[in-house]
Amino acid sequence: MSYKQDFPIFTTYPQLAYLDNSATTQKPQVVLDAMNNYYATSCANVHRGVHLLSDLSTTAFDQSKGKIATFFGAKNHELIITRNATEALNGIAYGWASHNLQADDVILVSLMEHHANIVPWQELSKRNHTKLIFINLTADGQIDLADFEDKLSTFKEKIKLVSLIHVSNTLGTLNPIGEIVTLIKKHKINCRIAIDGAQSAPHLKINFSKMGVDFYAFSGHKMLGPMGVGGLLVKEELLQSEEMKPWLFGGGMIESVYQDQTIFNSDLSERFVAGTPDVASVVGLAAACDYLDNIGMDKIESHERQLTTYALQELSKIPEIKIIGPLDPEKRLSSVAFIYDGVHAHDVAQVLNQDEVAVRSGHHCTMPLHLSCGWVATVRASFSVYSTTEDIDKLILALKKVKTIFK
Amino acid sequence: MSDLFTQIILDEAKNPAHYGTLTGDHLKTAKYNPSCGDMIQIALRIDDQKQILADLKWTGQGCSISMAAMSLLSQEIIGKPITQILQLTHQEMLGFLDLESIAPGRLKCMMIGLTAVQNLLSENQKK
Repeated sequence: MSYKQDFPIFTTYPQLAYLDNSATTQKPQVVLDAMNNYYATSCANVHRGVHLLSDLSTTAFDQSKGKIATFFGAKNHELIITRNATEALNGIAYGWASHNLQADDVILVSLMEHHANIVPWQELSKRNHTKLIFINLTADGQIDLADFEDKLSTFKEKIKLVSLIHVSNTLGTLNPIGEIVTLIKKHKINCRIAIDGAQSAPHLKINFSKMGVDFYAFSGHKMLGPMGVGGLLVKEELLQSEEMKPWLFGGGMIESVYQDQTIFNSDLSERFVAGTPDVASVVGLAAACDYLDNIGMDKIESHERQLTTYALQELSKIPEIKIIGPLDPEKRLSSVAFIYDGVHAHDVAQVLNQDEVAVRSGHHCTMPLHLSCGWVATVRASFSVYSTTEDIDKLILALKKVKTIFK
Repeated sequence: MSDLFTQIILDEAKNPAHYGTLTGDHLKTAKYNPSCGDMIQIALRIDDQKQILADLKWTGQGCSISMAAMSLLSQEIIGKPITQILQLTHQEMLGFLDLESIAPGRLKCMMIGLTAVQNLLSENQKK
């Protein structure tokens, strides 16, 4: 199975082994065409004019947004379009947490969180004096469920939000969200649950209606869509409640504006979108969802599991390499990060670049994780639908050169 | 690109010059490169009368470019006038490393040491 012919980047660079998909994915021609076509045939502002193009643009936007929501098993109005998962997580902080959390209330996150699921809560604590508590990890990089239960019983009703990454962008760990939701219920904690889905949306079938969580954040550009568009899924009852309020204000999100006050739009799909949305990117992301759906998310997951298993097996044959995160391929998804003994991650990546193997090096926006584990930086190879075992073979071959340069 | 790992860079990174710490009165600073985790700690002493950099020692962890760049920089600037050190740019750094150019992604690696030294020197001037 190779889908590379659908992605023009591989026509430009036929030998490229692109293994930096956790950072961003390449875009298929159908996504580029959909965006071009929108600008060529339907460009006008949405929800404003009565002229033909305005109608076409509004229809394109609404249909695309509906398609993206359906892709995630959510209702159309449960999807708030954002720039990316980071902006979506900030939306939870500004639109929900700011209004509902008070001094000494607790937000639980894990030590493997991306900075996007740490910094907004640190900033919130400056405003609302909330506490940010980290759940420990096991030695092989999984959420320590015993420690999680300890923290549930320690902080009890003070816990107002549990916010966790679904798939770790560094460790590759696939976190057991179902089990975590069950534990929260078992301890009778009445908190909201947020999931950072930036690294799960591209690889797993997501059914928001059955996840048992209140928020799910994702980035379009990591799932074959354009950069600059993502989303925050919010449970309908929460959107309708007074708990969740708009956090961006201006045109579009209003019902009526007077000199001294404003009534917000009662239409939930418009209430949280201020200003002109990036319509072309929403159209592009909907085309990406179609592309993924046509292949089938189950098939994509199993393809990427095979690649992950193969990568783990081949990397573990190189004595200088220490793989981080769970070694059991069932416990992880779509990426493998590692440390090369005695050679800095940047230097490893530079050597690989010489052979047209693109990987990420650094601390992948998980500095607390790296600090707690004592890693300076790690190298990460990550996969997407178009990745092949040949890409991994090229990686392994290029890795063998590291030793010859850094003797 | 393929020539980035020159013998100079590999040698300097492996056996960096002026690596260590200073004792007695000195100025110090640390600089991190948050995107890759590089870290450099600088300790230096200024000869106030002559306005020159009297001594410098450094420690750090990072890629071969950042380590080699700091090692070569330290050999160039000890004993030099502060004003001259403050005027150094990435052009001079390329010269020290004997490179014609560097990829944008590695520019910060090359510059981390110089930036730290210059920040420390200019902060000291403001005092």
